[in-house]
Amino acid sequence: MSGLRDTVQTKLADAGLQEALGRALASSNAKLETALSELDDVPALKDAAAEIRRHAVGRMWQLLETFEARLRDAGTTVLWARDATDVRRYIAEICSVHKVSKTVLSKTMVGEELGLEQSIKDAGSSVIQSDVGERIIQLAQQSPSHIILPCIHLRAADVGKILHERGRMPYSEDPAELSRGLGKSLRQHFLGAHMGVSGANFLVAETGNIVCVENEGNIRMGYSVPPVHVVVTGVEKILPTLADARLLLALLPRLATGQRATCYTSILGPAPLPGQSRYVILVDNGRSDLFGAGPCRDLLHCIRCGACLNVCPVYQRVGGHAYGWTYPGPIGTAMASMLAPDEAVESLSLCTLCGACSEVCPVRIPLDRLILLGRATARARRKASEVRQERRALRWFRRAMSGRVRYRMSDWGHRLGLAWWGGRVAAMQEKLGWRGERAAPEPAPQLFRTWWSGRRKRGDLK
Amino acid sequence: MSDGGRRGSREASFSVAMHNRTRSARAAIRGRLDTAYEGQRPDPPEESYLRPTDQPVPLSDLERFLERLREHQVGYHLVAGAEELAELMANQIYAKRGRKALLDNRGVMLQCRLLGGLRQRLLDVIVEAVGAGLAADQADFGITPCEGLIAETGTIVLAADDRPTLQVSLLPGRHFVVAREAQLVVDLATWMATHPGNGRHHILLSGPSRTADIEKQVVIGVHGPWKVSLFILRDGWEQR
Ligand code: SF4
Repeated sequence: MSGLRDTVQTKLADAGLQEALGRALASSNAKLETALSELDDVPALKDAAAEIRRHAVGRMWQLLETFEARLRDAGTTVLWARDATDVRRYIAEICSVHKVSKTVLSKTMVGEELGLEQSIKDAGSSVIQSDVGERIIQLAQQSPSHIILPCIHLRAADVGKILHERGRMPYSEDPAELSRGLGKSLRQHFLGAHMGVSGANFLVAETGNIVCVENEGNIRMGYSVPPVHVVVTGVEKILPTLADARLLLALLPRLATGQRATCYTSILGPAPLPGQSRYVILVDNGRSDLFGAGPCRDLLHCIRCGACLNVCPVYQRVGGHAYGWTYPGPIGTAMASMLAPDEAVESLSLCTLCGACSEVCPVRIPLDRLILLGRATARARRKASEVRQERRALRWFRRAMSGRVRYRMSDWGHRLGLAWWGGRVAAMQEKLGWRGERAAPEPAPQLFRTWWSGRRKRGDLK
Repeated sequence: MSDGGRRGSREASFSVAMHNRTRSARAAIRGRLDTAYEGQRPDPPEESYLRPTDQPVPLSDLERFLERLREHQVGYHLVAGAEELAELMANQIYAKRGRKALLDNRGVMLQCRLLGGLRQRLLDVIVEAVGAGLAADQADFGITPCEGLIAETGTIVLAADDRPTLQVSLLPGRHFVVAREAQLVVDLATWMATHPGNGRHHILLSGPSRTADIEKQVVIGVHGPWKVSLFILRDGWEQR
């Protein structure tokens, strides 16, 4: 726990991070409000979107089989991957079969989850992240801190410094100059690439379409220019029909970037382009565990819009790196107990359970409830001695709270304790780390019950 | 890019070990999902939001569409006929000192003989159709037809069947799109209803390439074209 606390303290004290997050998230949330205000009936639209995702995830296997058949019939190779090891082997094989030595990789969260960049390097190919934000992160040798805006934690000045130090361009603090400079240098990589790798936003079973949403055009470059195109995507991205994708497309860009529609939505047909090889790698990597985990199945409904991160009061202050694994913010926290490595599970304690995430979610995932459930799951994994102590304390608390006399006695006991051993209690709280962020409140001068019966006697209550 | 064909056609040699791997992974994933079903299948979703709007396009939709284009920073021109289209486009290419223009010469482009019209007017500019030798990354202007216009979101629907055609609307710095007014529909649902999945690649284009990755400041023209202009042939253009 102290590791997480230290991380949080460091993030809170980082003025640059606070400035970057404050500026970017204020702009995101303002745009979100405007974009949603254009829609007639947002709650009904969200209900429909949630229903579509529930239905699609519920019938996931049948839909995946149909999708696979459409693609196979059209000449696309479909590969199934249980985990990162399977993906690594496929990538190695594809690189060797097609003699790939230059790859452009579009931003994909599944790719982050699987260590895709390293897998491509291990297969003997150079790899260039082609999304502007991801390229900055790659050059800075960091990891993304947001699922839509990978370098949200950096200010323009930080980016300018990174690009200057890496010898990419003269120092600048102008976002336009920096973005265009990166775009220009990436152009040569696109033109020389042997393989383009991207993710997918939706897979359509009925027609075998692959839907990719973006603003920059790097995904378009990745499938339009290189002779080999690989799509690496989670199995949960499946939808029954293109009409379902259409409804989700009304919400996804609005929630993600505050746009009515992104600049480019590619709806790829099931067949590879003439003279091109296409591989679609369908990744499980723990998703089938979520599928079988009762209410946690809802997490598979996520369309990765990132809105829950933007509205989360904790994310707004600590940013994505504090969460310690690929998926930050509420969606990451909710998935942590099932999918995150052990050291990231403590990020569950970051949540304040305010519910802002569940409210904004376009597919109505009850994130706060699932985080609570995640805490219970994580607790079950903890050391028995820690749990025993906690249980004992809670048993005492329950006893004290569940009887009138006991409640009064504990109240008085608390006051007397503070009066006699206040210093020691404070020291203990300090040791437990309870006073790091806020002071313990002083007891009110009058007990609630005394005040209440006083009102009764005075006749204030009718 | 020259060895694209060679690199792109080698699935046959994908090893037996990989085939076995994907087969066993498929079986494992299926097994896990099947176990989790426990005989419960969810009901189909409510249909109310899946129905397309198939009303005729009211007049005001063109206005709405044009307003959306302005918001997306897409230029537009309403033109009466083929002659006016060629004249206007040639003037724009000339004014921007274009040296090379690449055309996806299909559909409406053929109907209005745009290739010839531009060549006639732009004697010192190379104007080529896709496949004639001019690479898309060498062109300053990419000119394409479109498959539809969507009023609600100010979207232009592009279609392509191969990489060279896809590149015309992506690699040149400026992209000109030619559309017919009759292609305008209310929303994406209506467009999908009238264009059932035909296996082609479609791109829904709602503005020039942009990024807001640095401090959320919008920067136009990163990878794709920085300027998109739409030329809409008004109804009855064939007669003019
Ligand atoms: S949980 Fe909901 S709000 Fe968060 S990223 Fe997923 S879809 Fe968006």
